[in-house]
Amino acid sequence: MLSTFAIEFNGITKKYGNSLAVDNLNLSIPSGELFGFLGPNGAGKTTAMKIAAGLVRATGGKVKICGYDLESHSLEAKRLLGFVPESPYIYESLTGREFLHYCAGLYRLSNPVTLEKVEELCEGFGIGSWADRRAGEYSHGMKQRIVMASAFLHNPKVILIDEPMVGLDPAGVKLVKTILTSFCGKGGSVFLSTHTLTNAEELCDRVAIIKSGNVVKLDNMSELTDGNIPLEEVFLLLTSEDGGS
Amino acid sequence: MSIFPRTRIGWKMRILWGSIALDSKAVRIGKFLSLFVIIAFSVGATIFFYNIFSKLLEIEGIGQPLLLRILNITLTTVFAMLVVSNFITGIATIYRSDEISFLFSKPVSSHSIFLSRFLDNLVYSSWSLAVLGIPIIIAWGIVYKLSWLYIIMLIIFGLIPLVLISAEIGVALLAGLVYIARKTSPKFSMLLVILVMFGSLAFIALNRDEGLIVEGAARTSTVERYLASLSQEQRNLALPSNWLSFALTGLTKKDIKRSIFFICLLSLTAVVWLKWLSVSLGGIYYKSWSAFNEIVGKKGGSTQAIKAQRFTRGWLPNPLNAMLRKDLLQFRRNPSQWGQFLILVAFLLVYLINLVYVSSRLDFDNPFWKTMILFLNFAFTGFILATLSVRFVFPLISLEGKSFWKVRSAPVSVKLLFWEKFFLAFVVFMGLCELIVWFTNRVLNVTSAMMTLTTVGTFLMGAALTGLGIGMGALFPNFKEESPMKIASTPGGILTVVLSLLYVSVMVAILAWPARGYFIYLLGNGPFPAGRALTAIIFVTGVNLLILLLPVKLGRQSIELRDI
Repeated sequence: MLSTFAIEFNGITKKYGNSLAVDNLNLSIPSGELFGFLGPNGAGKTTAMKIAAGLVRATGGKVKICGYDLESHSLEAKRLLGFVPESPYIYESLTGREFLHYCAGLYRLSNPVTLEKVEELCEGFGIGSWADRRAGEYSHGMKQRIVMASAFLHNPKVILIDEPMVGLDPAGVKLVKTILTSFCGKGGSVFLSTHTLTNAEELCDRVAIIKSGNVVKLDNMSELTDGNIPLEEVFLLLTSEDGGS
Repeated sequence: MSIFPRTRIGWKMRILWGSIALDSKAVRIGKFLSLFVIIAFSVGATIFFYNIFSKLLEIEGIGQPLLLRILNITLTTVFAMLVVSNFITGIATIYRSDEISFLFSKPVSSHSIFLSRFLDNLVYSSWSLAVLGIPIIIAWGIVYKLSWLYIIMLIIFGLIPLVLISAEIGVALLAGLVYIARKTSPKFSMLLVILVMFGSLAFIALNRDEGLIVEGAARTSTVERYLASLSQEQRNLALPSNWLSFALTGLTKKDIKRSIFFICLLSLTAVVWLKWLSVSLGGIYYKSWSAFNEIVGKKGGSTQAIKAQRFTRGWLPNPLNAMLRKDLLQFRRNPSQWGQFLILVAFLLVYLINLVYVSSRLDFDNPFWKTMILFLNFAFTGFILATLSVRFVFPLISLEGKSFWKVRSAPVSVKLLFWEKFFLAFVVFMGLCELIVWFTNRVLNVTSAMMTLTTVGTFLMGAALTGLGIGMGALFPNFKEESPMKIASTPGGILTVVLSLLYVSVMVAILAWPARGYFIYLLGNGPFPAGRALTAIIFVTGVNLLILLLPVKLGRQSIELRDI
């Protein structure tokens, strides 16, 4: 059932009472693409991201992950997904390593595979030295690294990542950039939501700018910036009160 | 412009009002329904206590002293539970709440912050028990034909100060423990708590109240001796719960001076201690709060890497094994969880010690006492299950907390998550309650038929109450709260208490039917009630299936539809 599109949003709408958080969102992200989802505060980025992760139910429309409908085949779709939320909450009484093993259990990974994968990720994300301390003592950045590692544990096809650089030190930011580009290089897809426009400019193949629940611009990075206009200028123009329509 | 004043309580009211305004229509209806059920429960409890008190007073000679003794025991139990409850909830409210670091970063005095946290703690840990206390006072007043002015005065200047005093003692003990832990070590302070707990147990066991023993109750001479012991007022003057008891009995004996004295004593003690607490503890609150967080930080510790494999190794398949291991580990690493579990086990031990003692003194050839105690014991087991269910099962879904996103974004069905929590709670509590039933039935030397009836009844009650706890916990989740006790104190938790108690009462009423037949059979006035027992079991099975499956189904649907 694997589709050429890693993520498909088909007419996704989300209402909270009378307010419209996401309005008829239509997006298709192919395999191997690093897709940037940009927008001002309250534009609907996190809501759309959570809908794709199966944490928020859409009021209307459908989301497909590698061809699997998230509503009717949620378990199959979730097996192919790795999600990194904006706030990296983890069980504070568990150690980082225990959290990773727990996540491996949720994805039914065997013990030998888990051991190998956890070692690899601990080394890759630079968490080996404090992985056996309880998460209650971790800083935001340390939790962020653990949560990211947990998203890659089960070899997902798609990574949904909300504000990945918040709380990370410069070395962490560099590391995440490398990991994400390498993941896409191997055929994986990343759906990245961020406010940090320089990161988006540096990393993303394509970008959608969302304002008040509507996509106001969807283009390749080079087309969007027209070669030399800074992304920041384009973004501010499109998202200003009188822009973007 | 807000209708609430810019005072501490005003701001709390604004926050509460704001949270109601953010709720969906369904949640708002649910909250109002809970409020309605709680009010209905209070009215029902008043009628229930009124009937009990009236019936007791109708018994010539023994009625009044027995009523006074029951009142005294109830008030002492409520007082003890309030102290324990404030102590445990205080860990979360006074020392661990995120609000505290926010408040300390603002130009607010340490005294004010302490007082606001103290009042928060008081409300959270005491309101449900206070709701139970008001019907007792009202029923008492009506039975003794007191004017409504007296009844209201008793509630305001008697019951509320008692609740306040228990909160003050609980918080002072907690602050003392934090001080000891800072000066010595957390391990030493925990050891001290365990020693005090078991020391109290030993004290209760060694200093048993002889007046409560119905020795050879079937014989007239011993009943007279018992009556004489009830009439003697040899209660400890140091216990504030006894002051309220003295105030109430003073009013019934038209000794107004005595009553006013004890009410003034309660009110003054509550106010003076509050002032003392806010001055002394308020002054060192920042130091104490920092010390607690340092202790918790020290306790964080580490775990050997090899032990992490428990999540992917085990005889149960994954993800079930991982979820079970996680829940058990979280329980083990949360002192407020197993601490309270230990306290409940200690209360159970007191009960078992008393039962063994009573059974050794009772005339067990008397079929009335035999059936009565067997049945009361069964009802008591039901109430233990109800308490355990609300305190430990109801918060299970909420305790997934802010990390719930991980399970919901993983390929794990909500159904599996529910059954994992159900079986975890069911196995633990069922094991405990079946053990109590088996042990007490052995002590009471019941027939194998009654042993089977109570064992099956406890099994069904355990399953139904666990289902009710899980389902209601999912219908009224609170993923933002980390303290299980505070989760259990929310309106959803109180609604679960009410429903659990109603359910246990219905179960006891249904099973009383074959038990009555059994009593008649023991007297030799009828056949063994096999038909009645079978009918009751069939009826009880139906009720239990409904109580088990309906809340679980509704709770599961609610979580599936819920946005995380």
